[in-house]
Amino acid sequence: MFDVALSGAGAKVVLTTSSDENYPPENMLDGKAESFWISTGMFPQEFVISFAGMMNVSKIKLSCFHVRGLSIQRSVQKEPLDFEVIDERELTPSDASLQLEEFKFDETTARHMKFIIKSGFDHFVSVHKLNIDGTAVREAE
Amino acid sequence: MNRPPSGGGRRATTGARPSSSLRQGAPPGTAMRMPQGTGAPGTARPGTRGGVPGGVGVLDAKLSVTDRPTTQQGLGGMRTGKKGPQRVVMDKSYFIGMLRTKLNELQAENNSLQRGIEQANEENNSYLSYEKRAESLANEVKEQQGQLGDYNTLVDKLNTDTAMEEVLEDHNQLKAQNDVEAKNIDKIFTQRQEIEQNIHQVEQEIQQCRRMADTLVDDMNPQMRQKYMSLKQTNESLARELEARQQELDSLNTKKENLEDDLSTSQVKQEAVRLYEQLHELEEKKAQLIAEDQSRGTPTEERERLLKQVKEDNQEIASMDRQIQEYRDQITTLQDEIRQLDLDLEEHQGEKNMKYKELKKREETMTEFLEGYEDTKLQELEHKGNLEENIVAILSHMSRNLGRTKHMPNPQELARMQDDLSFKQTEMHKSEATASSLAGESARLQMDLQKVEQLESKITTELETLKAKISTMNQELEDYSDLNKLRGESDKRKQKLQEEKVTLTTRRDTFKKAVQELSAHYEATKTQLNENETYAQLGNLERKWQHHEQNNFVMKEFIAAKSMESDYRPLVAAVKTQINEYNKLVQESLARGVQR
Amino acid sequence: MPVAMPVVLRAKCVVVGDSTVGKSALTQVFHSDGTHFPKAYSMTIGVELCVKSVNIPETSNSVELYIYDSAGKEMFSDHVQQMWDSPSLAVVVCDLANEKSLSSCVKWLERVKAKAGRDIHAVLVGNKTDLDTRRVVTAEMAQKAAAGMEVVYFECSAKERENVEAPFYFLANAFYKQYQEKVAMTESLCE
Repeated sequence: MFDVALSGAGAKVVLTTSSDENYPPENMLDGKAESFWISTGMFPQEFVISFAGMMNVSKIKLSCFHVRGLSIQRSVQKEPLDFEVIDERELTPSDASLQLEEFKFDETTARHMKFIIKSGFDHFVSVHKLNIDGTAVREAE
Repeated sequence: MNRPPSGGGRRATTGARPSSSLRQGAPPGTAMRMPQGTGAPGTARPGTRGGVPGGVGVLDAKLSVTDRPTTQQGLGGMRTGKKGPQRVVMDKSYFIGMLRTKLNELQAENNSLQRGIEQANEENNSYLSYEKRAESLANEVKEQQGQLGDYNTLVDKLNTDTAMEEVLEDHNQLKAQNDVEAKNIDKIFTQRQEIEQNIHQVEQEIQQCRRMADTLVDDMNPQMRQKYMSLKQTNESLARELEARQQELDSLNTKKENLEDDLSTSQVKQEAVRLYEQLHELEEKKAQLIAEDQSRGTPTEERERLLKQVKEDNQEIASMDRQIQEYRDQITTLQDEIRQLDLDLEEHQGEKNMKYKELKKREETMTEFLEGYEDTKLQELEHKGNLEENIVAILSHMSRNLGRTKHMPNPQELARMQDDLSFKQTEMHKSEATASSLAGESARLQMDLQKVEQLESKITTELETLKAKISTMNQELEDYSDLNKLRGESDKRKQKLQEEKVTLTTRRDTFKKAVQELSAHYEATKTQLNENETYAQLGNLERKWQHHEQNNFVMKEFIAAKSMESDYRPLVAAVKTQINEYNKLVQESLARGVQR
Repeated sequence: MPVAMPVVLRAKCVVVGDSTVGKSALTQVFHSDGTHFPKAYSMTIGVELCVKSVNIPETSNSVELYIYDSAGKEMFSDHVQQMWDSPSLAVVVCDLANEKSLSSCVKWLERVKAKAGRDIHAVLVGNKTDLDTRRVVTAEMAQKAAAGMEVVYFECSAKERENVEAPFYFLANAFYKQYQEKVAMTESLCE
C-alpha cells in the first residue's frame, strides 16, 4: 500500500478546470499540506488524476478547504473517458482549519480518477493534499 | 250591461239566481235555466230578458238552444205549437188548472233549486275542509322540504369531507344568530307592548278629559250651556266646511297640476295660457280704470278732496315742524347750560389753578437757575478767556501778516515756485509708478523662485532614480557578463517550460476529449429536445408570447411617452417650490422693512 | 525575466430585475462594447448566457464574467431561480421611470441571496437615464435604497451606451480582490 497519488509515484493531473500559475494543481500531489491548488471561481470544478498504471484503490484522504459537494469517479480505460461514480458526499464546513475527509472503498480498480467539486461554502475552494492508498495491479497481457 | 246588479248577483253565487228570477220575472212559463257562459258580458243579455218588461227593447240575436224565445211581454210568446190543442174557453177552471200546473212546475223548480243550494253548501263545506287539508298538506310539504334541505346539506358535507368541527361550528353560529334574532324579536315585542300600554293610558286620559269636560258642561248654567252648545255646533259646522273646502282645494290643485302638465306638453295650450294671462291682466286694468273712473267723481269733488288732503298734509307738516323746532330749542338751551357750567367750573377753579401753575413754574425755573448758576458761571468765564486768547492770537497774526505783505515775492518768484511745485509733482508720480512696477517684478520673481525650487526637487529625485538605475544596470552587467550562469539558467528554464509544456499538452488533450464527450452528449440531448413535440409547441407559444409582449411594451412606451407630455405634476411641483421661495423673499423683505 | 502567466478568474454574474427594466439591453450593450443595442423589446424567456472578459487594470489578469441574463417576468421566477446555482456576483437592475421596479429590487436581491447561501458582491443599477422627462426615481431615492441593501449604486443608460461598463468593472474588481484575499487567507492557514 502506498500513496499512488504522489507525483513521485507517477501520478499526473491531466485535467483541471482552474489554473493559477502560482497555485498549480501539482501542489495537490506533492504530499505537502502547505502548498495548495485554488479554484478561480464558479462551480462545478473538477480535476482528473491519471495513475502510472492500473491501480487498486482502497482509501482516499483529502485535505481541502470550503468544499461542500464532492463526487469521486473512476475510469479503467486507457484514456480518461467513461467515468463511473464511486462516491458522492457533502462535506462539513470548517472555517478556521482544513477539511480532512476520508473515503474508503473495497477493491476498486482505476487508471484515472476524477474529482468533481459540485459546490462550495465560498466562491473559491482549495485542495491542499490528496492521498490515495492503493496497490498496483498487474495487467493481463 | 243594463243590469249590472243582476249580472253581478248572478256571478256571485249560484244561489242568488233564483231570487232574482223570482223577483223580476212575472210568471215565467218555465224556469230560466242558467244560460251557458254565465257571467260573460256577451251573454249578459239573456239576463235582461228576465228583467223588467219594457226595460230592454232589443232582443238578442244570439239564441242558445236552452233559451226560450221571449217577447217584450215575457215568456211564452211563441210556444203555442208545443202545448197541443188549446182550450178556447178561458174560464176559472182553465186558469186554475194553469195555475196549478204552474205551481207544480214552480215547486219542482224550487226543489231542484233547493237541491242545488244544498249541493252548493256541501261543496262549500267540502271546499273549506279541502282548504284546510290543503293548508295542512302545504305545511307538511314545507316541513318535508326543510328536512330535505337538511339532508342535502348533510350529504354535501359528507361528500366534501368537512370535519365535524366545521359542522358544529356552523351549527353554533346559526344557533347564536338565532338567539340574537330571538332576542331582537323579544325586545321589539316588549317595546310594542310598552307602546300599546302608553296608547292605552293616553286613551284613558283622553277619555277622562272628555268626561271632565262633560261634567263641566253639565255644571254650567243653562245659558252658558246653550252658548256652549251653539258654539260647539258652529265649531263643528266650520270644521266640516273647512274639510270640504280643503278637499275642494286639493282637487283644484290636482286639476291645476294636471292642466299644467298638459299645458307644458302642448304649445298651443301654452300660447292659449299666455293669451289668457294677457287678457286677465288687461281685464284687471280695465276694472281698475273703471273703478278709478267711478271713484273719481266730478272735478270739483276731486279738487275739494285734494285740497282737503293738502290741508291735512300741511297741518301735519306744520305740527311736525313745530315739534322739530321745540326739540331744537331744547337742545340749544341744554347745550348753553352745559357750557355755562363748564365755564363756571373753569372760572371758579381756573383762575386759581392757573395762578398756582404759574407760580409753580416760576419756582422751578428759579431753583434750576440757582443750582446751575455756579457751573454756568465757570463755563462762561472759560469761554470768555478762550475768546480773549483767540482775539489776541488773531491780532498778532494780523500784525505779522501786515508785516509780511512787505516781503511778498514778485511774480517771477511766484512763477518759480509754481514750477518747482509742478516739477515735484511729476517726480512724485514717477516714483509711484516705479514703486508699482517694482512690486510686480518682485511677485514674478517669487514665482520663478518657487518653480526653480520644484525643479530642484524633481532633479534630485531623478538623480536618485538614475543612481538606482545605474546600480541595477551595473548588477545586470555583472549578471549578463556571466554567460555560463545565464546559459545554465536559461537551460533550467527551458527544461521547466518543456515539462510544463508536456503537462499542459496532456491536459489539453484530456480537455479536448472531455469536451468532445460533453458536446456529443449535448448535441444528443439537443436533438432529443428538438424532436420533442412539447418542446416545439412550447417554442411556438413562447415566440407568440414574445411577439405579444413586444406589442405590449411598444404600446406601454407610447402611452407613457404621451402621458408624460400632458403630465402636469412636475410643473405643479416646480410652481409650488417657486411660490414658496417667493413667499420667503417677500416675508424677508417685509421683516426688513418693518425693522427699518 | 520570466513573465507571469495571466490569471483568468471566472465569475457567475446574474442580472436580475423586473420585466422591461433593460437587463437584456444592458447585457447586450456591455457584451458588444456598445455597438449593439436591441431597439425592439424582446421578452427574455428563461435565462440567456453570455461571456465577457474584463481586464483588471495594472495587472495582466482578467475576470471572465459569465453573465446570466435572467427573465424578469414573475412567470419565469421559479425557472430562473433554478439557474442561479451558487452565483458569485449579482447585478440588480431597476428602471428609473418606474417606481415599482425600485421597490422590487429588494425582493430580487433577497431571492439571489437565498440561492447563493453566502455573501456575494452586488450592485444596484438604475437604467434609462436618457428618459429624464419620465424619470420618477431620483438619485437620492436610489442611493437610499442601495444603502438599505448594502450595495453600491450605479446609473446608466443602455440606449446611450453611457456608463454601462462601470458596474461590471466594479464587480470584476471586487471579485478579483476577493480572490486575492482568499489566497492570502489560505496561505496563512497553511503556515
